[in-house]
Amino acid sequence: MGFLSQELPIAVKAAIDQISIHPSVNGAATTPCKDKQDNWAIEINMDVPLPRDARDQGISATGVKATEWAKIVFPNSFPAHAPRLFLRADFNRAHPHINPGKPGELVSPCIYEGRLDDLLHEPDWINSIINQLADWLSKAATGELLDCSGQGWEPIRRDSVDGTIVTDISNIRKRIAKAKNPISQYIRYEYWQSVVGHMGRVIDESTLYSTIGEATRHFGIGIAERSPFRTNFSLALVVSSGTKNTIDVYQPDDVDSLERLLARAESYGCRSGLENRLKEITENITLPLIEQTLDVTILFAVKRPCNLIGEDSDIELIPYGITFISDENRRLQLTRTSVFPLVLIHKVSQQLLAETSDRNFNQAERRKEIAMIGCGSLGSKIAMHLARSGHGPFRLYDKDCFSPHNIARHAVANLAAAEFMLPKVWLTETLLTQVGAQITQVKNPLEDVISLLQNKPDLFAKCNGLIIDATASSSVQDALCMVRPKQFGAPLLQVALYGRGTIGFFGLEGKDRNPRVDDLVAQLYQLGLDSSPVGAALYQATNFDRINTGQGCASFSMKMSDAKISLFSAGISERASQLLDNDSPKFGELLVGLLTEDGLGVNWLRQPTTKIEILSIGNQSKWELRIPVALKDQMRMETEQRRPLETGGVLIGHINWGRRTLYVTSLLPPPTDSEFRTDEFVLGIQGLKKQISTIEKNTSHTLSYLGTWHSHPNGGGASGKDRKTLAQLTRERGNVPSICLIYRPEGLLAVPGPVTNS
Amino acid sequence: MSTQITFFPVGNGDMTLIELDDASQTKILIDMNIRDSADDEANEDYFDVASELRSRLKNDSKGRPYIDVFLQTHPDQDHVRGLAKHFHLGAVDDYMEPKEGEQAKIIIQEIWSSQIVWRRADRRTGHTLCEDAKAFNTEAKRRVNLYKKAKKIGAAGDRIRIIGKDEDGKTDDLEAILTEVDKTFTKINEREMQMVEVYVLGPLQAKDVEDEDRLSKNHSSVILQFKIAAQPYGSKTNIFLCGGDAEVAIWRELWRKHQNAPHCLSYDILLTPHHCSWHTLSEDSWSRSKNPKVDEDAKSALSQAKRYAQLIASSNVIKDDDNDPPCWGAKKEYEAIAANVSGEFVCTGTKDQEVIEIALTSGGPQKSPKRASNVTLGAGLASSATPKPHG
Repeated sequence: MGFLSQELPIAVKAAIDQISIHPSVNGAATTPCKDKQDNWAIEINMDVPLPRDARDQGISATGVKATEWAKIVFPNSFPAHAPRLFLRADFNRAHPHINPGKPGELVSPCIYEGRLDDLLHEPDWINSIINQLADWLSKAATGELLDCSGQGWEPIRRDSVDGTIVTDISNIRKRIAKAKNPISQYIRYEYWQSVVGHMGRVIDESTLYSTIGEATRHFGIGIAERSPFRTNFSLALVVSSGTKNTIDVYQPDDVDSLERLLARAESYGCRSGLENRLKEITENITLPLIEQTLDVTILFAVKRPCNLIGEDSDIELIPYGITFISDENRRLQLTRTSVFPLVLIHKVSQQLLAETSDRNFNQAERRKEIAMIGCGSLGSKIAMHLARSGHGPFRLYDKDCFSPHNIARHAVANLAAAEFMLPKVWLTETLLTQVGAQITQVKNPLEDVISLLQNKPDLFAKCNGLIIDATASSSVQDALCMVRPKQFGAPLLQVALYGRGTIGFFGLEGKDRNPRVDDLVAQLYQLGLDSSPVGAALYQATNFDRINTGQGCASFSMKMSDAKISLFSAGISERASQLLDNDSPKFGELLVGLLTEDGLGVNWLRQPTTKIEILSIGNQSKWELRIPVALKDQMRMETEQRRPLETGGVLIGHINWGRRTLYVTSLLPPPTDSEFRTDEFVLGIQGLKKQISTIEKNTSHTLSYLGTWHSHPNGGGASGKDRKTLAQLTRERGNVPSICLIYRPEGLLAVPGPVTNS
Repeated sequence: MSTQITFFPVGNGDMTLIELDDASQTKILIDMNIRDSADDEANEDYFDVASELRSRLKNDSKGRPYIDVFLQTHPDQDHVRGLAKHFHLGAVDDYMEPKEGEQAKIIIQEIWSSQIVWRRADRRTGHTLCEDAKAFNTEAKRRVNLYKKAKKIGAAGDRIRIIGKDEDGKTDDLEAILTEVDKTFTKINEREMQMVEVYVLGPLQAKDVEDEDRLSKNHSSVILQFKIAAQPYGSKTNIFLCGGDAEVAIWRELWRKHQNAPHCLSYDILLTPHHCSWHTLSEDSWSRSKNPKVDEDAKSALSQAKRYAQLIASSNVIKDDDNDPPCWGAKKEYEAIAANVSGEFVCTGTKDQEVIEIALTSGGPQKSPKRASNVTLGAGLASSATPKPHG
């Protein structure tokens, strides 16, 4: 102390002033003073409302008094850290929500679910802590802290214990749930000694060994592994009296020696099982060195009368560690042990990830498989987002290798991998498994998905979640469009970025692949014509940039930052996650994301999607015509307006030469010099040329004149005039396919005849 | 959640919620007085009881808030106000999802109500039903008619329990949904309850009293004694007595009827009738009579307090004046009753309006711990009340 002032720090004084006028505090029992650790402390008396029956005795059946003494210790770091609270040493430790401690020490109640330090920073400041203590004492007075009907069984609290065991708790519970009779079995275990304490994990929960011989075969107990942590191989023991035996007595955690551990085992009805196993361990295990320590973990599995708080199981796992020290013969003895409690922590599981991500985790649907075609920067990020929220398993496809420039924005961060140019599939797989995702192994994941589909069109038949194409490749899109609807086990979602990351595309196919992704892309092309910001990104910015990746060699990819890709991939993943958890919309979904000018966010615009009507046209060389039902409805309206006269217009759309497909994306109204008669419609030309050239220019020839449409308001087939017009169009347009479409109330009809002159 | 009873501060009016810690977390609402500004953020004169109530409710499988039971003790406005605004009336199939900015309406799965009380209220001179009471009446009739038609107890949202047999056979064909006076029932919202027992003390029937006309002139109400356990399978250690606005003649008759078995009237918690009205305890007027006399029989009926009993007045602040209700003289009487058993008389009307919450534990009722309010509460308002000149 010496030079240090004995005066109260201002913050502590303010807190004590506040505490002393708290309505539940009936006065400070002492003036503030410093304790041995140089912390300021104050003792107070708290009023506790007792239930009626306890008021005469002044003490509740659970041992809480009408006035309870409490000690509040302010750490030197107060108010950055909250004060610590203590109750009298003889306070009943059988209450749940009491931090572990030894008999004779002051009792430390655990008054708050979260961090007390944070509670102190709530608007009520120190009052919130005293309020919480008042609530806690009031509940303790009626034994309500342990409330089976509402909350469930309170598991033994281990928040402040300096040692952990990480395991797949549900897996062990599943095994115990099957065991009616007492069991005690080994599991392989691995731990290391960190500065904070014992850090262990169960190696494989699914293999329980019933003899020590099996458990230690090919498994060097006590041998330090050559890992960065120098982990030690050891054993964990699952001990239970079986599910027939319900243990409904809540006991304070007072186990700190082997003797007490055995007493505890006795109260759990499994003492002999534990004793036999410990004997077996001392008789069979020899360590490499003398005076070497070996930690063995005991996992009591105890059946409780109700489910544990917030869990769907009534089996509580209570872990302890036993440290053995080998004797001069390198053998273990029960007399040379110490026992310590461990905190039980869930291994990463889909359930843990889903719950942490605020998803409703549905056991039944948890194996919805996601096919990720293209594991580039966009694909890897989406896969990672989905995996982190507990989705999967995944099957991955990408033919490319990871090269140094990919480090700028791929989810994988691995310089050596970039320098060895390892396949992106391998790296993405490793990345996903690092967050607990499962990977479905596929044949030839490095092969081009186009050739894979050629050999095996039902490549994705077993994928039942979502098929995501993030390749930004038109040839992959074409290959996927060849697949018959029945050969897809899940809807296809295509995602892509355009215009250096100013536009995002999210196209989900409808039921039976109608609309299909190419229809949605065609709709995007039309949107680029109608909306200038989309058009600018789609048609005016360079589609791909040359990125110099070496001397005289370049990669063609869009230049954009990692963060910009993340802006889009985040939204896409969130929506994909919703689609995986719910039913997909019947007519698919088209979302177009526009990066805001300040680059802070993305506005996603939802475009209406409709079913596509498909017509086969041409006689010798077949072409497919795809037209949205929405456009057919537009034709119907125009027909009705002109009735009884015929009307018509120009079909605008996109041509896919490779797949011999025409996509009608919009209708141009008839030019002003058009003629409308009951038996004839003459498509005029006034201003048409200018209109078409503007469209072609603005869309870089992505959209163009495809042909004509006209109405037969009273139905009927193609007339001789219609055939002549088609023939003329075909002559004029040479190899470019032409169509003449007739709208009739009974349906669309393409004028028969050749559509190209070849 | 633990089993508890909550008295909401609603001025001179009643609004009480019983919450049970059973598997279904059953909620029983007794009367309501949700005044308009109570759900108007701009006007904070009244405590926001609607939000307080809603925060305690659960949603059904379709995400709609609901209460298991609404007990309507009698059709005065201060016992039913806010019904149409906050509760869904009509068939559950017609439930409308709330519009943007609106709160979802609360579904009442089962109604408890008394036809005889309603008829008497009608007969009282100068008494007209408020809009909420009319709406309630329509809803109750709808449910009764559904039962009459189907001859079976309806689904949640169509259920009703009639308390007290009406005269002239008007309730004769309602056996399955009728609970007569002096009977005990344990079925709540069609669930057989191990933790609650409800004993029907009133409405008194004509046969119980000499003079039905006289009874009609007094406020009549459903009067129930609840015995409540803390846990689904515990002993029922908490007794709550509530009697709406029942007046002196009713309590006198109850005492005459039960004086040899006074446990029927005993309580740990009493909701003092008619917002601490003098007319519960006396035939005389508090303001006009020079020496108003307490009716000893009526007082005896309300004096069956158990040790450490709590007597709650759901009323405005009680002042030493001529006002009635709440009445200073009645408060003194109740305080005397409380003092006899080391109990306590508490009023919902206080300076800082707060709900009164009492936990119903296996060891009897337990008051809530006292909590400090926000450190800065009021400071901003106080410091902005006067100009602060700076030189």
